[in-house]
Amino acid sequence: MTNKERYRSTFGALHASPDTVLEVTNMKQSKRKVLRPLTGLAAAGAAGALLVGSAFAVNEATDGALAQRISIWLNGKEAETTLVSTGEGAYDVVADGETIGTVTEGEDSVAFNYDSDAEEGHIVMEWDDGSIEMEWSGTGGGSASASFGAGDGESQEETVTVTEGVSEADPEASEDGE
Amino acid sequence: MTEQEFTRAAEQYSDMIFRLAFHYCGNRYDADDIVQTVLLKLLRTTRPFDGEEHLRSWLLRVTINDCKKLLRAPWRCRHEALEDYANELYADIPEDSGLFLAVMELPKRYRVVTYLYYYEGYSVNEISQIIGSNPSTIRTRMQKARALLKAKLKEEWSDDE
Repeated sequence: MTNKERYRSTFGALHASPDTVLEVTNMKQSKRKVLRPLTGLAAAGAAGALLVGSAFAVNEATDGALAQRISIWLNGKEAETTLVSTGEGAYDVVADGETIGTVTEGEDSVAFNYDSDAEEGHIVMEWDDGSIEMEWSGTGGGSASASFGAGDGESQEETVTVTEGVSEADPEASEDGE
Repeated sequence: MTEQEFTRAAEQYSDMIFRLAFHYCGNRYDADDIVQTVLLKLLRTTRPFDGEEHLRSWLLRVTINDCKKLLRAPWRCRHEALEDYANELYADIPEDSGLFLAVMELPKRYRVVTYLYYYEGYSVNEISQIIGSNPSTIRTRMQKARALLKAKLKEEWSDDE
């Protein structure tokens, strides 16, 4: 067996998740992007339940704060971020002294509305048991929401819906070498 | 791209995107995210493709760009025990796990060219165009990758050029 044949035999065992292809097929109409939890939750069957449980437990334990930690990167740079409560379950997101959006905590979801000049942004909210992330690209405004399960132990997907501001870069134009 | 064309391309190339992203990122979770991102870009692109090879090389290029972007993100922290994944993949043919682990222990810049050469069958010049590096750089990486694989796998890896 040649090296090429052996290499193909070995790495031919790797396959994309059938769910991933199915998700993209389903996204064709809705433009919904499914995000997976970060390390630690990726293999947890009850990720949604864990996240919901910890989110609301932490909410009480931290005197009303939505998450234990919230981080925002604008155009690749981390911004100094604070959440300012504006009412029950609603917060202004202040990054580097400028309000760039709002976060609203729902019964089984977190919604993020942004209005920023930053072309690319990520927001990460973390709890001890996990975290969620949302991202956007393109200047202007838009919204995203992450939905969690109802705590029934079933595996849940976290979804982000980007309603505006999606941009697609030309891959050849963005090539920057290794 | 029509829906039928997209579905065919997704079915045909999702594994290729996954394997390249896995070589780059080193874990299946990021690789699956990259598959999703790249296929979405394919879905939304208005770019016409001049044949199958053009589409294939475009997908490889987008995959590499998205892997770079993903690994630049400061919040990215996924890791996976490759030994566990190897045990899962090669439960029936455990001897294949040796090459799998040897390749994945290579530096990232060697893994990607190794994959494109040995799995996808591209020449050094073609890889240089896909990656956007000088052919001599690719040739050097290939030589170093071969030497490292030979040192790890010994007689299980034959000398080739």
